[in-house]
Amino acid sequence: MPAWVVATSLIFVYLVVTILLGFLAGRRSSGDLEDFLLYGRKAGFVVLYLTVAATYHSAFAFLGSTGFFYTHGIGFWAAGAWTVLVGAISYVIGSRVWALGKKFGYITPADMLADFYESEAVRVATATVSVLFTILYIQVQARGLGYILSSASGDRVSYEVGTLILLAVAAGYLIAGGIRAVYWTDVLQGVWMYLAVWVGALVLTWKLFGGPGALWERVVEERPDLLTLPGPHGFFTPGMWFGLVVVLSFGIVFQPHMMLRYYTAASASTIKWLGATTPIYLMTLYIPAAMVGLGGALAMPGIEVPDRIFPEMLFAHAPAWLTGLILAGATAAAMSTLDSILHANMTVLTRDVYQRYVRTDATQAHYILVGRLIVVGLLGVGYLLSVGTFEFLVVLVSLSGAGALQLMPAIMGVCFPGRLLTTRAGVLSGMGAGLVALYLTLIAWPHPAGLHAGVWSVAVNFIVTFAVSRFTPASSPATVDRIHGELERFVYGERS
Amino acid sequence: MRRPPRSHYLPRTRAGWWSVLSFLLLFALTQPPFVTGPANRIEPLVLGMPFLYAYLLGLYLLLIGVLIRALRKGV
Repeated sequence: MPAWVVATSLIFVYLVVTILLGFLAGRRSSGDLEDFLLYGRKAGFVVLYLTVAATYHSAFAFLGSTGFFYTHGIGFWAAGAWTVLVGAISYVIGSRVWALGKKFGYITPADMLADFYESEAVRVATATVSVLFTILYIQVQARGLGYILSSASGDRVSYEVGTLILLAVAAGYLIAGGIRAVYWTDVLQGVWMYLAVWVGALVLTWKLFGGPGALWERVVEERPDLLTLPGPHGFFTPGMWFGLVVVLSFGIVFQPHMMLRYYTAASASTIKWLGATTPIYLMTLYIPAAMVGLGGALAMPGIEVPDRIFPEMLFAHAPAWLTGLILAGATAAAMSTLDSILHANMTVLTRDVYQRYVRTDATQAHYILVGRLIVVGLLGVGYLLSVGTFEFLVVLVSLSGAGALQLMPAIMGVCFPGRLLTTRAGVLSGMGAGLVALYLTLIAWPHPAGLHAGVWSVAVNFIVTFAVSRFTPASSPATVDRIHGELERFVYGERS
Repeated sequence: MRRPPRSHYLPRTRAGWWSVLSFLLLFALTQPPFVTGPANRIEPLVLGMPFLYAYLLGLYLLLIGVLIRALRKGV
């Protein structure tokens, strides 16, 4: 049987399994809005661990990262720093977000910010930033899925059709089972993608080079330019290294699909365990990615699309059944992020827009129905956005991450009581200034002084937020005391 | 209810200070100028791996260790 038939069939088998899981999850749903959107705030450690890991790692982990190691060398190992930082952020900020969500019934990031800043404008701005920049992320995942299916089928399934099929499957099980379907499929996807990238990398490394040690020896001998900074094309300058670390840690965590996960945890302890241990999964996934990318630079130099190096190597050097299983893992990586983004956007649009401004007094079943219709709409938008010209996946990820980064001063103001209170005028001005700075430093004058646009934009945001907050009225003492007092009790308890 | 009397940006326990300072110190070593200066080399190889790669891998594992220690100490 031809390799492409085996590979494509295995991906479709995987898709059928996810659809079944989605429908099983739908049958377990209680019909309650909080259950549909937040797993009833009962997600345990294993489920939450795998959904966070699978959601954080996307098509980018399989395609973009191997392509980056292939092109720019070891500089991409900066990924270890940003994934460890994601764990620390979850540990410190995630647990605080969980505590406030549990106490005050928040469902979206905008709920928390609007409550603390006593401002509907803050709610609208947060929801807008959340949706606007994560829609870009839908595009990234959809493109990754298109790459994978068209690669697996040897371009017999076109990129456009592949994208549509996989988007429809993810949207389908989300509609059927809400976040429970997302979490259950993420468990499968998280395990599958991790095993797939490790097995694929080890098989290729042993077959082509005789093992990881021999691979390193060959890279040292033949491509030493890949083993130091800034890499063969000068990409990993100090400013870019630091910038990517900031953008792909804080910027990803502050996206709504990650923030919502904190609300869903069963306990604070679950979140802290999550923060301390997720970097093990997140960071170690880039070890095999380095093997693939650097090995590919030796074995298959000069391929046209570097992001395709992993599938290209598999087709050339691995058995068809293994290639299929691994590409199904790549599909899992993309779908687990995509379904979470679709869910987050559905939640934000249902809760922060529809329930707040369109129908405030409808039944829970009505809001769930609206949420499902929103997913259909997002499916269409995501598809239209994704059938454009190809770019390096990491550039798009950075753009999305840098957008969500603009929520950072506002979130820090809520979660970290300090000497200076940030105010609604401060955070709104900061967000606006940060977005303008992001446009200027990403599009008009890309990465001034070699420093990533995300860092420039968030620096401007912080400065403006604090400057304006000094001269504008804070929220009422009752609100500040209620929220910061709850954090004081949660973090320090009797010791304070 | 009352306003929290002290900032949440500064740890209040010895274990908290240890965790924050050790994390920040180790994390700083993964950033420029360390990573683009003294650590930016291929040799000496460490367990067969290029120096920069092994240097960062070691730091990442230590950072995870700091997080797990913080968890165990109840920080």
